[in-house]
Amino acid sequence: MADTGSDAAGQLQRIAARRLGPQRARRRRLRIGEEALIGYLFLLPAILILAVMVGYPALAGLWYSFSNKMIGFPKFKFVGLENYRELVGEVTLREAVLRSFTYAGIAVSIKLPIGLAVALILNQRFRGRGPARGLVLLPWSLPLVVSVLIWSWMYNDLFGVFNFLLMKSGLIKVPLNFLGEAKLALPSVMLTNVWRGFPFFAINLLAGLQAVPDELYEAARVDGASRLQSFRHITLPGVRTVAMIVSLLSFVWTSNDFTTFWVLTKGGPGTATKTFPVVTYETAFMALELGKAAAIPVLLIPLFSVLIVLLTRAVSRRELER
Amino acid sequence: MQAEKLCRRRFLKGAALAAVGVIAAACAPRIVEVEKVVEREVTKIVKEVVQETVLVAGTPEVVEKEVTKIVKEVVKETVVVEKEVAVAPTPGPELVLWAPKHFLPAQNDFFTASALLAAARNNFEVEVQMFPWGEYQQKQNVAIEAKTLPDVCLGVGVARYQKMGILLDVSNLFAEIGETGGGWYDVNERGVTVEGKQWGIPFHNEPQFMYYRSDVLGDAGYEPLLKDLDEFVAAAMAVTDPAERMWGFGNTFSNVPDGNNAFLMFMWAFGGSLQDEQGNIVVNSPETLEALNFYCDLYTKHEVMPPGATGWDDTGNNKAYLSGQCAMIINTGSVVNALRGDDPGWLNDTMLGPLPAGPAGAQGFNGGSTAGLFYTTEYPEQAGLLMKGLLAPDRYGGNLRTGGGFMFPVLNDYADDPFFTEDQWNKQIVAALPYMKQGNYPGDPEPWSGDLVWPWSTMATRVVVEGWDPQEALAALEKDAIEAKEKWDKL
Repeated sequence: MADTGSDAAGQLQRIAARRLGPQRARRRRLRIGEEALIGYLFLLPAILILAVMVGYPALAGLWYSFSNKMIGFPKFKFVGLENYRELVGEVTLREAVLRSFTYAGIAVSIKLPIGLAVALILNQRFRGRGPARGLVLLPWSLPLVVSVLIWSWMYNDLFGVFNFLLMKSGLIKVPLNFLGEAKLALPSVMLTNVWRGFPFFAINLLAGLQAVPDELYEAARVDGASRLQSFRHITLPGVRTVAMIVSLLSFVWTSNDFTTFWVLTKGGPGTATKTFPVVTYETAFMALELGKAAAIPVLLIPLFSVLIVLLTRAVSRRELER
Repeated sequence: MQAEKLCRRRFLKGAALAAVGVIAAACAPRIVEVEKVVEREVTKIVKEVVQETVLVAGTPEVVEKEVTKIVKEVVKETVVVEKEVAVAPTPGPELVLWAPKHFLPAQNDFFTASALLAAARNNFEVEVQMFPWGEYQQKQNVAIEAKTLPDVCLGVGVARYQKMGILLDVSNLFAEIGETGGGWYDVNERGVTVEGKQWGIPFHNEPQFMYYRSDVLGDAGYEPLLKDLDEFVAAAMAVTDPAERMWGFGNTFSNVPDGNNAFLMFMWAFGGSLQDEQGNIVVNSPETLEALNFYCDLYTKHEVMPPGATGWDDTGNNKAYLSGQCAMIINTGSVVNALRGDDPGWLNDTMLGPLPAGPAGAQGFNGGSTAGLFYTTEYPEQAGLLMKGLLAPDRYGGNLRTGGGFMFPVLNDYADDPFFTEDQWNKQIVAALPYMKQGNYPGDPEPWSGDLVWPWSTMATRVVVEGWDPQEALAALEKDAIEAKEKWDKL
């Protein structure tokens, strides 16, 4: 802006500036509005996809959960909380929910230390580190059904490689019934899940480790800290938030695991591995009770909400730390 | 001469040509061989011993003399009479046919060719989509709800779908096809009849029966076919030797069709059943309890089954027999087909028959498939022509033959096919057919029974794996059955 000074030109310029100011401000407001609109337009496809692929099914499921909708019967009626009342009274479902959360809790507790150990190794410099990082991802990247089928063959009592090795080594005299014995079935499914899931922990924790500044370790070394002390006071706090986030995510995904159970055991033997996703599937696609099946996940929303709140807080804390 | 480097243009050209070639091959019209049973006169030289009276020193004596005769006789044989291009002469409507994918690729190919030929002959097109049995039912359930049903589906549950109102009444079609094939078997007609009308077209019967290793049982002093269940247990115990990895009997206890269907045979053998002839639930009976105890004792008390049977999938007992680790199993003709294809050494020692007799006699289970025409089809006439083509005399026999001993006819005319009457193992299966029953025996198929999720294997596994009291397990099944029936009766 020109120096207005006290001369006539300066006065004219002051008058001009005063006159142009509001227009410029209006143009600026219009420009911001246009930019925001363009931004929303770019977001629109993603919002539409979310609305159609996530929002609509969720709302439809919620609606069906209050009805007696059956597959193959277009007409159905609103039954209020009848489905929920029945489900809460079903012992099979209660046991299945407890089984799901126990399974997920133990599986995550195993995947976390294994993932951390692998991440610590992959964070070191060694020859072949690149290919090693790729190989670690292999269990996670294989198609789920393919990898679970391979595990079912390995568990087989007559032909499975596990029984073959155990018997050859003399550790057992008769084959173990991995998938057919109540006490072994759930741990066997869990082992498959751990094998598939630990790479997710490893890669995320590796990213967390790489964000820890090297200077902290150098400073600790200079101060005479041991490796264990460095691990305890620098590494663990550095990856704590990442660990919490991946653990919570993995807990949600693991408790919703259907494919591993269905391919390995179909919820058997008896009900030894019947989790709530299996119960939901059987209720919907075998008993054809879509309304009742839709009510099962809705019933579990309060439990998952607690986890979602914890996850959100952990993510917010991480952003603050940055 | 130096080899030229492969430049990008040449590579792209080659890739494009290869893609065009693949597409052209895929689009090539299907050539289908059409068979026909023809009669042929054959000349045979037969030697006979005849008696004639001759005079020997003036005294008539009867002597035997060998004479050679030339005899002409008429024999039937199946020949390929022509090759047809399975393409409609002018573009017509396109139908979609769903079918289960069986173990034999040759049978799947033959079935597909039959469908294409039927369509071509009637000036329409058909897309055949095949799915493994495992999740086929659930796939149909999803299609029902989404209204994305095919025009024709092989492998429908007639009672359920009729109740839903999604099947077309095919009574006329059923009658017409029956006339061309010498009439339907009673069990198949009952399976598709609801309230006096037919709602499905039976396609094949799939009996399940006992397999016996006559060599292994013979070494232990037992000769198949075993006469009753007591002998069955004794024989199984006699041959069981876990150290030698041999068990007397193998059947899966887990939640798969084999595990479920085998128990039905034991239940019927003791006189139990899910429902009576009027459709009342009668499963919680002393007979069924006795069957459950007998069946579970095979695993827990007599220990004649591999311990892993509680965790087997549907191929578990197949693999156990084919690898020589079980002397007796229950299965369909799929195992004998596998033995024919790759004999491990005991094909000729394999004998087939019904489950040995219990108090209510010998038993067998009959599965199979039935086709349904869905209400959503825009081309019901073409759908009917498609079914006629699949069951036509020049195709149906071939379909059964390519199925090995796995598929058996639903029409009377095919029972005399030499494939069933002369083959060493198919003959034994045919002999076991009179004992075969379908799942809802002695009642008719009911829509509610499909709600029971692996009822028999779950009940048995609850006892042997989870330690339930057998009466408790039976009562739980009865409760589920009653709830399912009440639910469907209200619909």
